[in-house]
Amino acid sequence: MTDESHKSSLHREASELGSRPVHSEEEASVTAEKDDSIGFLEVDDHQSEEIREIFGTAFPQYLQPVEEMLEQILTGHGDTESLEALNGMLSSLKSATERMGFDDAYKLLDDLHESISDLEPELGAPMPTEVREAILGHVIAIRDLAEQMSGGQVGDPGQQKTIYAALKDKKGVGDLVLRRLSAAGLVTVDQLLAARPDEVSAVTGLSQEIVHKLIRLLEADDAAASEEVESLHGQAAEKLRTEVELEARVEDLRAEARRLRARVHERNAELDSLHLGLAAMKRELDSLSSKMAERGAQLERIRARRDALSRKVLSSEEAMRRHECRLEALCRERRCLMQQADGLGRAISGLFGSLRKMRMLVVKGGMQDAR
Amino acid sequence: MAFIDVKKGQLQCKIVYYGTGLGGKTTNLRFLHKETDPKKRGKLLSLETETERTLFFDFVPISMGKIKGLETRFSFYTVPGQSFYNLTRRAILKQVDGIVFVSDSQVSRMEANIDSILNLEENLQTYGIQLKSVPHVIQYNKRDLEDTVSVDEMRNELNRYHVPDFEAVAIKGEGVIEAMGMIVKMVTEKVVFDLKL
Ligand SMILES: Nc1nc2c(ncn2[C@@H]2O[C@H](COP(=O)(O)OP(=O)(O)O)[C@@H](O)[C@H]2O)c(=O)[nH]1
Ligand SMILES: [Mg+2]
Repeated sequence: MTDESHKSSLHREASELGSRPVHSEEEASVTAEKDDSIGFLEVDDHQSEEIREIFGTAFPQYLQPVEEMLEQILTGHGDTESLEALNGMLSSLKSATERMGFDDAYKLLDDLHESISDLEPELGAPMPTEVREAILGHVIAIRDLAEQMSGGQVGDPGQQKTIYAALKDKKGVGDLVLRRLSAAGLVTVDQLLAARPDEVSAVTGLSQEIVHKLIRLLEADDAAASEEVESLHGQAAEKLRTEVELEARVEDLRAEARRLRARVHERNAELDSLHLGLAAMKRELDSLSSKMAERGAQLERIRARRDALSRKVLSSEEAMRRHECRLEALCRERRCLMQQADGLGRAISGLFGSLRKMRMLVVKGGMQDAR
Repeated sequence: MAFIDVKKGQLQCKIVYYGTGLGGKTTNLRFLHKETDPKKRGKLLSLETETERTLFFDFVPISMGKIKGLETRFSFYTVPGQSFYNLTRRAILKQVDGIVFVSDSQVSRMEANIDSILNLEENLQTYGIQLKSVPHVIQYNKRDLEDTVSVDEMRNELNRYHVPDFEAVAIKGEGVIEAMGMIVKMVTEKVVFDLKL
């Protein structure tokens, strides 16, 4: 086959993929069930090694939130939500490791998951020491595995020899060197041999001299190189010691910071509860003073009503007095009228007397006439 | 870098779908998997959270026929979009042969697209590689949505090396095979040239 025909067959493949489903109708109905697990091409060694390496490099990053959430819970600062988040994260990590076939990682994660599965009733208070220790034991085991996976044990050592396996027992090659190499992502012997020494030196911070010697050590079981590394390493040993001491100090400081953070947390909680109390009191005060204002207003209204009423009483009294005066005047008038009426009565009866006398006279006169 | 297993007569290439979270990378891979002959594809390994966000990566191996008697196998990966999983993204980019940058056309995701492509360049640089020298294509996904940025504008922001680009609606499979076909073509040509096959 020529290059062109290779390429064109490949392109045909690719464009076939694009133009129509490659499989028959029958197969289409199988895949239409959207089953990701159907596929008959096996993952080969190269691919599974690559997956392992990716996982190994990335795993510690996924442990960090797990550890943070655990710390919260163990120190009594967790709640149901953080426990749920932790459960979710662990489930995801477990299912991922299970699907990749990393049984060791799965087992450790599962142990941890079990150990936290019944913590819920104890949330909100620092966990008892034995519970903490048991849980932290699992975490440490996982962390160790992660470190191992990312720092040298990646891949099948039979097929891809790791730098860690090749150098860990060599005279003069200490932890610092291995740690620096793995931290820079240099895991397998092939990787290191393929890399340019100046680049290795740049990314690891190891001197070029050490890198050259390491390469010689890996290329051949070179005793002389081993000695040289040892002497070079001796010079670096002082630096290493300081570094280790500094790291320990940093650890101490971190722990101190954690303690301080916890105390700040407590103080914050106290402060929060004080604030809450204060707020409640203020609310009460507010309601009391608004009630007082209300009462004042009520009083004001009552006073006004009282004033109005007393004004009304006053004016009624006056009216009464006026009416009494009038009554008196009327009485007087009545008495006077009654006297007049009496006088008139008497005059009338006088007149009636005279009338009767006159009538008698008239009658008497008539009889005389008749005679 | 492409890898030849002489004993097995295989050529291995690695394609990475890169881009902002929720842009449609996993959707691309699902569609690819669904549309490929089951005999030529492996299982789709989706390592996701309970809420179906990619946790580590998605992975599917697909066989793409022969070159010079070598069986070509492409490993397709996606990366997790969440910013704090950068270490994973970087690990997945190691020895990459080709990249499909899946961008999200929604106006609200434009900044995230730019961040993501800058992050891609940065991560490649840790391996001493420059994006312009890696075969890559750009996919403008979610063209079906309203409130999208125009393709010209997206091209201006994201396609700085004038590589082939594609409009896509990955949930319907539009533009998925086109982008994959193009990156496979570009990678194959480069491998044939580089390895002097
Ligand atoms: N409307 C629309 N939604 C899409 C498209 N492609 C993907 N999605 C949706 O976007 C969401 C995120 O997609 P996913 O593939 O998980 O994104 P990833 O984080 O890049 O892997 C999912 O709900 C998809 O169904 C598209 O072309 N149009
Ligand atoms: Mg995804």
